[in-house]
Amino acid sequence: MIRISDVGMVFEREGKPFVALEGISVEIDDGQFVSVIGPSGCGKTTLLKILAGLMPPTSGSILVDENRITGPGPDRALVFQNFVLLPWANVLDNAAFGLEARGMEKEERRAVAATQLARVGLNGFESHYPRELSGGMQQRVGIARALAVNPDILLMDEPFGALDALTRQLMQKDLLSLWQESEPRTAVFVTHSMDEAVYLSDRIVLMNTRPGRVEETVDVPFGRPRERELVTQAEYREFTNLLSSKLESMQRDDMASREE
Amino acid sequence: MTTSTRPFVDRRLLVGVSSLIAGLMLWELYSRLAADPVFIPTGGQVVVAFWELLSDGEFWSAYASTLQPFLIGWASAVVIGVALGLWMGRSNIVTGLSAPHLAFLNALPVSTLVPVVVIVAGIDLAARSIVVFLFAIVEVVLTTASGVRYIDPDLFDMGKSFSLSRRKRFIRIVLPGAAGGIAAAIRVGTGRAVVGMVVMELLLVSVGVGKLISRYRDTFQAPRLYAVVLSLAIFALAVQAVLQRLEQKALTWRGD
Repeated sequence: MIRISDVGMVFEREGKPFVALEGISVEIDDGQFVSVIGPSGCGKTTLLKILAGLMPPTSGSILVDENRITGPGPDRALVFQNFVLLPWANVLDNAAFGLEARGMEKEERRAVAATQLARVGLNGFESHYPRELSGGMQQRVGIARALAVNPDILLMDEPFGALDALTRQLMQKDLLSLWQESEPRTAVFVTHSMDEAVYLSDRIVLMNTRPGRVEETVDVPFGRPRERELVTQAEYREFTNLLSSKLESMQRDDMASREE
Repeated sequence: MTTSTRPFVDRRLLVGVSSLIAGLMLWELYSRLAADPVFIPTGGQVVVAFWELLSDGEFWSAYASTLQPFLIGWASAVVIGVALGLWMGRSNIVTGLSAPHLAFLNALPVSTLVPVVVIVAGIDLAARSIVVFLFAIVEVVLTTASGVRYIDPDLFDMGKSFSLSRRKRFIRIVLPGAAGGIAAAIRVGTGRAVVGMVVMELLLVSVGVGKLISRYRDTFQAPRLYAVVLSLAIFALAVQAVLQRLEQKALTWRGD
């Protein structure tokens, strides 16, 4: 259970305080897949970084099973938008990097990493370097690296945002089956794409800008396991359109209130 | 990919070699037709003088004596410079503390420090090593530090998200990330160290290769003078080539 209570984040920008997040309160049950969606600048990536323990919030707190998050921990792993692989390490060592950081011996961590690479479909690419892989394959390494440390909570920051549309679809499908097949694990997934959010998530958190805040939290009414065919169904299209227009009107209201 | 770029590389090589030959021919023409042979020897004379030098024991002992301070000064500049550069690249405090000193050293023509070194350290091996060191150090530090700052900051976030220790962060992210900068720093620093080595010997202490140059100049042995200068150019080029090889080996992951 993740309990985000009244989290606020204030940065200093050009000498003035800038409120990136204000009064964020969200509860996420164990094993849930939750997407956070909102326009650029709504602070969704900041929220994810706070969850990852990369920066402390200026106010409020986040509890994971009653333990307050004060920094990174073995219960969480982060997948980055731009992959963030070590260019000087091969695919196997990149996938094993989280385990290496945690002090696992070379043989052991390589074995675990190889298993995870096979799960994400990168069998046979172990000795390649990141620059030799496509963006989609690089992100598969990023996902394998995160899964290798076997986190309770998988944090993903627009992981498919840098990929082309076709690769993106394939990655969504593979992530979904990877997710559904593996042991229950909580996921927090930041995205720009409503299609992606609805397809993958149990719940969707809609955020808005200035200050970054949660407008609404919506349950996704589709059961699991899901198949790709879901996206062709009328109910899926209707629900996605509903949420998209909701997000759009939120943004319009926001713009209108600013013009006044 | 290699096959398509091959002709281009060959053409570049061809242009370079042709240009070199053209330059040598111009020199040959000028020295034969117009110049006073006391000052400007022909290429042939220089080549002959060069061969003579190679079989001359004094030439080699001159290099031996010149290379000692070069190696000491160069190695300390590389070790200290890279270490300080890495530290600066990772710490704003260290950067702030060292910036004024480096700016001062950088703005100053290093040769003006030579008399100071002589006053402090004399003219023996130590003093000459210090001069070599001073010539190289600033470039090594600054180039290394900018190499560190060039590392993708997301890599540090990634390491942090996995609770990477400081030691492992240094070994797995900072060092390999700055490797390109360090290699460049060593290359630039080496060039500067060669300058320092010769400047000291020409300006103040007549020893080693500098002594040979001074003597051949004073006794109007132009072919030999040119031959010694040529040998320095060959030496510097050889060092650069070795360093470039090492650099390529260390940075295979770049794939260039």
